[in-house]
This record gives sequence, structure tokens and C-alpha cells, in this order.
Amino acid sequence: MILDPSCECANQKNLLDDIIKPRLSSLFIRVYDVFTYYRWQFDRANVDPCMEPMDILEKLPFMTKSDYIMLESDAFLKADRHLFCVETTSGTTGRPKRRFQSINDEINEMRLATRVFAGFDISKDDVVLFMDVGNPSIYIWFAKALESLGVKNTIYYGIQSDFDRSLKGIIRLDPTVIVTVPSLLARSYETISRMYSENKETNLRKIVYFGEKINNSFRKRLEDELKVEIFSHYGGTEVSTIGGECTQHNGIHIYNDVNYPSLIEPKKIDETIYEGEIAWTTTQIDVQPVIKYRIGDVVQIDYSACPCGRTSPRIKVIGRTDDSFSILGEKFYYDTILNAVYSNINETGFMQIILSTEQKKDKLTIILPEKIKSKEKEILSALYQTSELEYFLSEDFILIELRFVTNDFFSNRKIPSIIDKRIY
Amino acid sequence: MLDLIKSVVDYAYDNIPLYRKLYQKKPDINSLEDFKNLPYLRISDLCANAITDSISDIDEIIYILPAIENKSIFPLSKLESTYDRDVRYSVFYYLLKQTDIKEGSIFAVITDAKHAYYCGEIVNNLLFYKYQTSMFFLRDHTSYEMYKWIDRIKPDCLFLGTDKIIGDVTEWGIPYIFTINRYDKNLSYEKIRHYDIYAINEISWIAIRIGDSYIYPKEFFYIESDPSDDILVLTTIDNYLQPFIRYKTGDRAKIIDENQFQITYIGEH
Repeated sequence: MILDPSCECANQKNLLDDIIKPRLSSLFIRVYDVFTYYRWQFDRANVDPCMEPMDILEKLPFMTKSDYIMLESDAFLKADRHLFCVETTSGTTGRPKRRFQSINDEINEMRLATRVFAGFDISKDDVVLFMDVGNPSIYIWFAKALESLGVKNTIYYGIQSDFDRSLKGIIRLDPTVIVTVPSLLARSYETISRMYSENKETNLRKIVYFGEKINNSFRKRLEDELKVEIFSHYGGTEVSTIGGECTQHNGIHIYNDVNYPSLIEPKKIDETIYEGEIAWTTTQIDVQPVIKYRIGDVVQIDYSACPCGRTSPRIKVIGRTDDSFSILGEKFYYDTILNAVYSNINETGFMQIILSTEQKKDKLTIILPEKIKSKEKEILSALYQTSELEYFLSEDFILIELRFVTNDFFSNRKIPSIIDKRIY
Repeated sequence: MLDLIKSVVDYAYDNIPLYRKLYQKKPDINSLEDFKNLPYLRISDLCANAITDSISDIDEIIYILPAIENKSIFPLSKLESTYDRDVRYSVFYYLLKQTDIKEGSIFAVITDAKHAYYCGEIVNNLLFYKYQTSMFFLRDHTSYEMYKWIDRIKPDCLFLGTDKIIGDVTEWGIPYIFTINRYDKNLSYEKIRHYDIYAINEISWIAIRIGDSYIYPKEFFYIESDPSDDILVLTTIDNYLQPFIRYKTGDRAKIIDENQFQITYIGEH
């Protein structure tokens, strides 16, 4: 369902002129007045906030996670009595990142989440179950967004590490849609798979994931085994909801009337597709908006029309800037290796990569759960056949080793995906 | 207790502009009587001042417990540092320990849009203390429809986080029913234990009703009753980001003991 065709199906040129540019102008004037950081950046770039908005966007620098922290105090002061909540993440810059939110932020985010959920074709008769381990706050505005769509039955289901015991109730609640994070789904999947195979008369039709990427082979496994349609809800703490897949499953639609994308050093793939690290400008965040903010995702952005009728660009996340490493100047993504490792085996994808130096070469040690040790040959074969790695392995530029560890090694959600111990 | 109270007052005066404004000069607390001569902090003081004036350090804010929307007053969210949040968890644990619910009990929480974030924090606390918990969003469900959902998970405890009347919950076969600021003698039957939690938006949960009295952890709160009007007056002992000292609530109470009070009138929450 397309909830707002006037934006989602608009001619992109008209959308830019009629909606996006005025919103950007309003944002620039607002932030110049309120934020010391933005005033400094505008002045440094010799930019007047009343200038043509696309020129401003071009001239302003990209914003990093360290820059983001500089917004906090001004955002807090701006919110004052309208302060509603704060989202805190552990952060990669040595101190937590905080996004202060007002009631207006809550309402704006809910509106966008409603459009994204409509794109998943969730109907009023669906039973939507949010499955997670702790604070349900994010699911509350999902639930509110679903209520706006007329969905009556939404349930937050808190689970604990004893999956066999704590997941039992899910079958009895018999949801038609499960919303969760991929790592939790992966860790509990053996139990979920068994429960659903023992209970054939259930109604689960869709799984919506968010917060993390899903491994391709795991996604396929879910589709095949649970007979479900998978949808991605895409966003981030600092930018909130950005977009989601439609029923065509051909990338994530971004709602660019609300969040405007910029690419860093874009690489043209073909006439409609560009690749690069993405940065976002949020026009509807009230208290702590961002301009050209790098959330750390490398994407392919496709400007061609989607058969679903939406005209908005679609993105595919192909890697994380902090989930990549370089060997001899070539960039490799964690996901490339993960997809290769699990390409031929019917298992859920856990993996850690350790980079080291051995015999003056870069060595790639791939840590995997011991339950897939019997597939060692297939995994190595798949790695050697991966186009990105093939040349480096066959020419002996990279040494590779598989190391198997106990399955519970991966039970901690915070295991770093890449550890680089190389001596340069 | 006197030493604790004195240190709270000293800390607040030294670190929080609102208390400097309220007290004019640093209070010299040598007895509980000195403390009881301090002016009350009222919700109007909080509303009349910038939010930065009521906290010690913006950098310490790690969590905000969103307020329940209220019809008559501007809702005040609770701002917390990591330490303050841990204190809130400890208070919640204390309240649970006053009940006779068993370890590993299963909880169902019913909420509505107005109370959802507050109830979300209750879910978070229950999960933290290893209670299997699910939360159901009440919309235009009839009581029977909601019963049918709840019954699917067969909970041991029901947390009613909504003002909307859910009739007949006593007939749902759930042995424990929790409410917030909604003690209802009709919920206590022979086979049902009803526990009401006393909570305030800007301070969070404080006490739990056991028998006729509300029990609270005295290491975290000092509670008085204003002799002129019986209004309950609260002091937080172990909150550093946003301490409340002699905070005059909208509820009336009779102090029973050093960790017990009886509520005689509950205001709007």
C-alpha cells in the first residue's frame, strides 16, 4: 500500500522543487540560529543559510559521528520543556551518542514509520509481534505507527536466553508478522524453526527486520523454511526511520521528502545506479537534525522507477565503513566474506575475521562456529570462487585459515566483526 | 538518615541552580527539624524554570523516562544518569521483593498509547529481573478479546497499565494483578493478590501497597506528610542528576512508619 502517493509517486524533479528544497531551506535557517556547530560550519564554508539549498548542501562538509556529539547541548536546550526522550547508543567514538527528541520528533517519526509499514502491505487484520530481549521503546512507536494503519493487535514479546522456554508463547499467539533484529532471530532460529515445523497450522506470513543487516543465505533460509516474505526497515539512531522495502523486494525505498541522501565520492555503476558511502540530511527532525551525516553505510542507490509505483530512489546496503578492511589497496567488506562462507551451507551466519601478518603477507583468519566444521571444504571452495577474493587468493597475496570455536562463542551480541592485528 | 539528607541538600545546593534559587543561601542542616524547615519544591518550580536548572550536568543524561500525558499539568519526564537508572532498577526490585510472586513467573502487561512508554520501562525492568514478560497494546478491544490474547500466554501476573476499564479481570484466572496508582479493592478476591504501585512521572516508582499500607525503600526515599494539608512530600536520597528535595506531590498520605504510608487521596497522575 502506498500511503502518500503525492510524495512517494511524485515526479522526482517536482518533488525536489516543491517539497525537498523548501524543507532544506527551512532546516538551514533553523539550524543556523540554534546550533553553534552549524553556525560555525556555515560560516567556515562561507555559506549563507538563505542561499539556494542545493548549493548549500554542496558546500557544507560531511558530518561525522564526532561532529554529532557537538549538537547535544544545543539540542537539549532547544527541546527544554518539550523534551520527550533520548536515544543513547554506545557509540564508536569513545563516548555514548545521544539524540534528544521532542514530542514533535515522536509524531514526525511515527508518520514516517507509518508510511514504511504501509509499504510492507501490513493490513488491519494482521497480528504483529515484536520480538526482542530488552527495552521495548522502539517497538512502541512501531506499534503506534501500526495503530495509525488500523492494525488492532500488536504485542511486544520479551524473550530470554532460554529460547526453548521463552519462545513457547509465540506459537500460541500465532502472529502473522514478526518484527525483530536479525542477530536475535539468528540466535533463536533453531528453536523457532523447530516450533514452526511442529506446528504447521500457523499463520506467520512476514518477517520485518531492522537495526542490522541480514545475511543473504539466512534470509533465503527464512523464506524457504518458514515460507515468509522478508522486509527490511532501514534507519539509524541519529536519523530515525529512513525507509523500507516494498513488496517488489528490489531495494529499500527511501522517503527522500523527509531524509535527503548525498553520496561521498559516488561511483557510477550504470545509467541509474551509483555506489558510495551515504550521508543523510534530515528535514523533519525537530530537536537534533543532521546535515550530510555519515551513518557508516556503503550503498548502491538506484534512481530507476520501481514496479510498485513509487518513484523514490532505492538503496541496497552493501557494507559498513567500519565493517571493511583493505588489502593491497583493495577494499573488502565483512558481508562479502560472510556471504561466501555461508553460500553453500544451510546454516545461520556467524563469523569473525581476524587480520594478521604472516610471512610478510596479510592473513585472514575466519572464526566460525564448530557446528559447521564438517563443511570446511565447501566453505574454502566458496571463498576461492568469490570474485572479489579469487585473484588475491590464487596469486597468494592473502593467506586464509578457517578456525572453529565453540558455538556459544557467538552468543555475545557485541563481538567485533573484524579485528585487525596486522603490522604495517 | 540525617547525614544522608544533609549530603543530599549540600549536593543539590552546590550543583543545581534551582535549589540555589529556592534556598537563597546554603542550608545548614543539623537536625531533621532544620530539614523540615526547608521550603517545598513544587511542580510549578520545575515548570517555571529551564530544564537545565533542575539537573546537575547535561553530559550525564543517559536516559529519559517519558512522562505519561496528563490532562491538567505539563508532563515532566524523568531524566536519569546511569547511576540514577540503576537506582530506579533497585527500587523496582525492592518493590517486587515485597510481593510473594515466584521467581520465573510470567507477566503480561496491558498498556494503551498514553501509558505505553511508562509500561515499556516496566517490561524492561521485569525482563532485567528474569521475568518472562509480554506487553499487549489495548485499542478498541473488548474485555473478552483482550482476555483471549492474554490467555494464550497463561501469565501468572497481570500488570494493568491503562486507565481504560478492563472489566472482569478478576475472572481471567490470573493470580496476581498489579496496577499503578489505581488501588481498587474490587480487584482483591480470595484467590487474587492485588498489588498497587505508587509512582510519580518525574520520580518513577516509589512504593507498593501491601495490606493497607504502601511500603517504600527508606534507603532511597525520605517521605513526610505536610501537617497543614496531609500532602505527601518526597525526598530522593540517592539521585544525583535530578534530585527531588521536599517535593510536594498532589497526593495525601498518612505516615505510618519509617518505610510505610497510607494514601488517603490520590491526585491526578
